Amino acid sequence: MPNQASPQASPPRALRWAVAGSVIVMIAAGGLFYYASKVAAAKRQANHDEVLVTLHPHSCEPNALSVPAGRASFRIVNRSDRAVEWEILDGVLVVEERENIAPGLSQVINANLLPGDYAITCGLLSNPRGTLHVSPTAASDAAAKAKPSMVAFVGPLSEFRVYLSTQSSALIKAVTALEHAIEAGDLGQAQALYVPARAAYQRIALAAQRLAELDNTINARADYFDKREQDPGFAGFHRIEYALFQQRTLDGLMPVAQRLIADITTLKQQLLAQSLPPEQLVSIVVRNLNSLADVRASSGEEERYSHTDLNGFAANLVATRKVVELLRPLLSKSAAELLPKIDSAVTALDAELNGFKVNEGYASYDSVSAERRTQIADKAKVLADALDGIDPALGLSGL
Amino acid sequence: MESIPPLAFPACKPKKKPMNDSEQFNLQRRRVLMGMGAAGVALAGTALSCPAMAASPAQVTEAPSSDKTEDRHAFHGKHQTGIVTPRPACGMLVSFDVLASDREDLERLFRTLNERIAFLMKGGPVTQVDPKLPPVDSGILGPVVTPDNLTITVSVGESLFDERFGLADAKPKRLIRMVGFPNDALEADCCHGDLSVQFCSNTTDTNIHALRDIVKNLPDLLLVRWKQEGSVPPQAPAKPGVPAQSARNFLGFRDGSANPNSNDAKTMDSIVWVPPGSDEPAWAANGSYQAVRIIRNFVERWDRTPLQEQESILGRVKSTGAPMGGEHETQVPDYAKDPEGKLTKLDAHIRLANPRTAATQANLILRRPFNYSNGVNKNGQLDMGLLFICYQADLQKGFITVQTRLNGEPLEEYLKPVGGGYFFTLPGVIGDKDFIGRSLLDATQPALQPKATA
Amino acid sequence: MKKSPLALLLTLGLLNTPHSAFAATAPLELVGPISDYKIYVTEQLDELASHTQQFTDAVKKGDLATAKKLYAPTRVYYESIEPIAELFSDLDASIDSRVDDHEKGVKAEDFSGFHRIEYSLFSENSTQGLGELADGLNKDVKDLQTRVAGLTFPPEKVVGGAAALLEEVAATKISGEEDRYSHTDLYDFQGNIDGAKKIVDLFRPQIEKQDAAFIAKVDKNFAMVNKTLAKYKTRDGGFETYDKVKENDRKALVGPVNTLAEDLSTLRGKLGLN
Repeated sequence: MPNQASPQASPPRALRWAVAGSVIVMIAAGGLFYYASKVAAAKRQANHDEVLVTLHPHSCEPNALSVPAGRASFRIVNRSDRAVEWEILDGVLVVEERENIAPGLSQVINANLLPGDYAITCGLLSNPRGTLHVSPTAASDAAAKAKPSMVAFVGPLSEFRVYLSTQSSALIKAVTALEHAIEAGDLGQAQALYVPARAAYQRIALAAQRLAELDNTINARADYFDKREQDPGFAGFHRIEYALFQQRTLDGLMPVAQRLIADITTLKQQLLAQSLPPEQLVSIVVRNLNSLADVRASSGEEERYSHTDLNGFAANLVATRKVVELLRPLLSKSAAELLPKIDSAVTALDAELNGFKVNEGYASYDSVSAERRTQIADKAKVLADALDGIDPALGLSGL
Repeated sequence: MESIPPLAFPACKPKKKPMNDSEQFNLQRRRVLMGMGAAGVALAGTALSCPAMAASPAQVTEAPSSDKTEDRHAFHGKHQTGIVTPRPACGMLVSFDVLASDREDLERLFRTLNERIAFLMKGGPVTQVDPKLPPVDSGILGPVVTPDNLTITVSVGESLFDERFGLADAKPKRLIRMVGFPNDALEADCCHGDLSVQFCSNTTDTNIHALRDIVKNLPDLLLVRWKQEGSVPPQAPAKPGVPAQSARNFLGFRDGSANPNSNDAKTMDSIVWVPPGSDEPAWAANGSYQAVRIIRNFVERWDRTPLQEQESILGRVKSTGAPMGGEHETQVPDYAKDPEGKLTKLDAHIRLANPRTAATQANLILRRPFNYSNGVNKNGQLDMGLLFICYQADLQKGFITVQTRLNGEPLEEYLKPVGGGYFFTLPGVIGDKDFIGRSLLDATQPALQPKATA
Repeated sequence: MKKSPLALLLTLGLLNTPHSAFAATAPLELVGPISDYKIYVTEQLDELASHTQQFTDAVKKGDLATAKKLYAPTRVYYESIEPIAELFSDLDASIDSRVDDHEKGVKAEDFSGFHRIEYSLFSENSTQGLGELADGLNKDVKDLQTRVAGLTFPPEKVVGGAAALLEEVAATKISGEEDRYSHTDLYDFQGNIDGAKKIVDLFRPQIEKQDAAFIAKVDKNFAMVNKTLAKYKTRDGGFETYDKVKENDRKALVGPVNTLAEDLSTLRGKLGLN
């Protein structure tokens, strides 16, 4: 605000210039601010109709959303004091999600939604869920009618289902071996067997994470619970990890291990029972690598107690390679320029992870520096971006 | 000719006005156009589809009449008949073991064959002998043998060129004993032979008559090794201006659509006949290589295959014989426009057999097959298929190359080659002084050759 | 480059012909049965591998009696998945070719696999000189496992496999031509039938949707075949030799087998597959 000059005396020259200068600066600043907010608004407009959702510690606002079919953007503002994740659920299946939204910050999630009714998670696992209604549009109706045959994808999808079946069986075997060690009271053995069991899980994590409820009981970290590690709901792999590597005790672990076996048996059934359309096959891989790039590589929080994160990353890459191989024939026919990009990104991430190999396993993640973690994250990002190109290249979302 | 009783008026009303006796007589003759008897009823059309007419007033065992029994081919010529000759309805391929013990016998064999073939193809009255003696002719065709379009084609097998007759040096360069291909299940009893004789005529019985004549005349010189008869389904004569259509095989497809033009002498000289001055022995000029394959078709399985799949396996439209996407059998598929096989699959039978590139022009063959139907197998399935016969100037570049390209084709699921052999078809008999096989014998006269070292 | 769905369809050759009488089954509905079938085939091949190991161990040890006993129960695991094995024609030839397929018969150098060993065991009553053939058979079976693991099963081959198995039965099992030395054809017969029924069972919901009467007829014919075969079961879960099959039972099998072959040949069409 410019100083009001007194009506009688004219101010000294320097002051006048100073005032004039600050006015100019102010106007300029105002102009810049106006320009910046216009750009920001324009950016938001480019994402047209961003839906704003505010997460409070124990609720979400609004808790009932409605958008038209097609592309939608959700801006999630985390006004709680925890890092939280936010998901769109189609029944039991996760359609879109964003993990690790830091307290006080916001993230935008873009989703391409078909008409229907969905649920949305709201921060802590114990918080009530919200609803999302996606209404049909003329365009979505037309797309539904024009939906062509997808016979070319039957092969890859079948192979992936066989992969899920074999890997799930392997997971059950691995966790059963872990349970036996726990039962035998052998802490050292149990710690050793935790690693392959986790790797087996990570090889199917991309698909398991569609099953929200099950994934929570199998894979949820302490942070998602009100009372963290002390929360009676804290179970699954990380509860076992906490006991084995932090508390260094097997006390009370048998029921947890047995429950985990029951849950992963159900997981296998569910993985085989849920149909997976082609665009989902690709999007789950992209999502898995994005969470690696954006969250898990830098935080080291996934395996907070055992620091076996690299073991999990390598297993995620195995699953990624499987999907790439299954789509290779279609890609070389319809997206030939994309394949070399994907292949080199896979090779680069593989080489990066191999750099951490120690004997048969991987270095403990707490020994991996922040810069090295960033390198892992970067390479995972390059791969995720390359894989993101598959959907438009093969027209999967148009199917 | 026995008199044919006048036809009674049909019970249903024919569209045309009532015919007089001679018109009805001619109608009956037309009815048996190709010597097919009652089956010919369907061909002649109009009033003849009435059931009353089908029950002809002729007697039950009256010989079906044919106006083609006197059709004949000239035996003499540069080339043998039965190769570029239009294929008639019935064929038979007989393989013989030659029992001759020396060259003298071999010459007697050839001269006798020559004499018999000349007679059978011309026709004429049978020699009558004292009734106390067995008749010289089987009598199947009656006291006067009718030619009935008969051609008899003589070819020699690789085994004839062994140590028995001193023919080894004259063996055609590419003549080998047939080697099985991967899908073959060759039965030794139906394979190879010293001599092959191909009989073709309008009727099975004419062929059989000829075979029995030859067997009777050469008891000490020929032993039947195996034989296979076959036929092709006749059709109504082609309308003027409409190209004739290839006869169908037992897969229900027209067979021979891609055959080179057998009426074009230049084409035949390039594809079928061994030319004079080639690297083949001089005596072989104007002969050809003959590949025979007895190919069983699994017809029940084929008949259970979706039409779309049948067409995609063969590479042709079933009803017309046209290439995929075409209308006429005579159309030539344009594979250059279809490099990925979206129209005609890359492993379709016709495309593998003849990829129609500049290079594969060297591998053309002349097909002249018949359909055979033998018996029933132990499993109750029908034993029928293709008596495949083809002719080419170079066996290696022709049949062997083509079949090698076909190895592994999807059609193999429905085929099982069980017999056949490779033979060299002898050059033609030029005149009365010549006889079948003479040029081969002359080329290997021991007196004109330096003494062979042991 | 992104193609419009129609262009993609055309280039993939997936549009049904205008005369298609059957609505194509939604492709995603095929994923479950096809992957379940691959899981089944993988399990069958695992059994084949372990049984073949035992069988060839007995052969190499010179234990004729055990080798003879293990011959037929081992083959069952091959016969049940034959249409998939046949996709690898070189392996099918080296594992399962019959003497007719070789011009030189038993003496043919490339006659190997089950039936060549069968000839020695049952016709010559000897295990002499079979070492190399036994090793070869083991290697081929393992090779088959690897190749099948890497194979994306084409939907039409899976569904068409049911008809292919019945063609096998109609051509070679009905007449006892498959195992001509051991006469253990009924084992193979049952293997083929079980394999075909497995495919029908996996696709049952989709088929029923298209034609419920059809599936009832198919079930009835399978039941008739199984009932007749069951008459020849032995106490140890095996089968009598083929020569024991009475003529009227052989005839009782032919009808349902041929009818199943006819009916199952329409399966691909009913599911809208090429």
